[in-house]
Amino acid sequence: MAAMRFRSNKPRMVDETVDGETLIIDMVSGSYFSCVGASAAAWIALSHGATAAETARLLSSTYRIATSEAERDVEQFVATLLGDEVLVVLEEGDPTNGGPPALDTPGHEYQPLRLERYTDLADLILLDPVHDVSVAGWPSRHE
Amino acid sequence: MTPVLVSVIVPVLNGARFLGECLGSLIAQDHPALDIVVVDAGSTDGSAQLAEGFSGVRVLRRANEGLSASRNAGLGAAAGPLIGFCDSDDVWKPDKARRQVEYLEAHPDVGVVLCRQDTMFEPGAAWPDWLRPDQVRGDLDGVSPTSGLFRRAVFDRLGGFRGMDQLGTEFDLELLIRARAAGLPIALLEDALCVRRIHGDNLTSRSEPFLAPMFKVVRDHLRSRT
Repeated sequence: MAAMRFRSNKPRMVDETVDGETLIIDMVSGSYFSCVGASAAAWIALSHGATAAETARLLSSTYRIATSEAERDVEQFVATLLGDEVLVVLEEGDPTNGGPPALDTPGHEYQPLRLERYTDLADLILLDPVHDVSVAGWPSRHE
Repeated sequence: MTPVLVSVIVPVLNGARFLGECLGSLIAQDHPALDIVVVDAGSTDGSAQLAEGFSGVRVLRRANEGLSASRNAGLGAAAGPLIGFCDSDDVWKPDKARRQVEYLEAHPDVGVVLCRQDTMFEPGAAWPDWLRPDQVRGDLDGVSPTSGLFRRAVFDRLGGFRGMDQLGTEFDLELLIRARAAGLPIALLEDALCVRRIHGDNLTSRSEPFLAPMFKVVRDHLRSRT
């Protein structure tokens, strides 16, 4: 697994990171996932094509933890992400996200990597949202 | 027994093209007590005048402050203890109100009952790129949050719809999430009781560029849990 590269399972999964918290929404099951701090940083790196080893080194240098600890955590984290189909292995020819952006870890101490999964809104997230809402009129033409 | 009054709020802005069919479907409901409130947000295509030509339809005229605000204005004017919404380009099947009323009367703990919808293509309408099969059932029809028949008590407790400036078209979802968080049960009738019209002009929020409001709604909910 150490040499594998990964990507977010788009378009099934959509994600957004704000203030060190990543929210991932599964548009097929309606589940959503949250990870914060180092977990969000690891997600960003992995979903942008970093290997587990690269991600572990990144965490180790950013949070000043032992590389062995980071490697162990990342390996488990990747297994969780793959198990929930949030992350998929990057195949040759797959579009990439262009490499991981710079890590932003505002005020977070290192915590073991963790992905929280929620299903309480699944039926609502899967509702059909079509509306006609532009300021020009309802219905209105999609510009 | 006196039938319960159902208020139906129809927000419209320059929607005259389909409004007549929409209102006709509401007037044709087989539930005998309907209070139809059209909220016109300054249409310039004669929508308000068209609505005023329908007997039994009340028309509120106001400035355009967005769809959420129009719906909230309709809520303020609604007379019924049960309240539904119909977009001005959609139609209700004749038994929608009755079936949802029957459900709410049989399930006094439920705050809102949704239903499935059929999808109707206008002649010549192109297949929109956002239109996908329902994630759960595999067909095109799905469940619209707009399909809900709500108890007024839901709005008394939660307030109305929040603004579109931050929530985009996800203000329906946001209201339902608040209802769930408040412990108000949400039910679903599996029958398609309303019809959404695909006319090539619809907007949807779930395509990639429009996802930000959905993230906000879910993130706010997540933070409210902790």
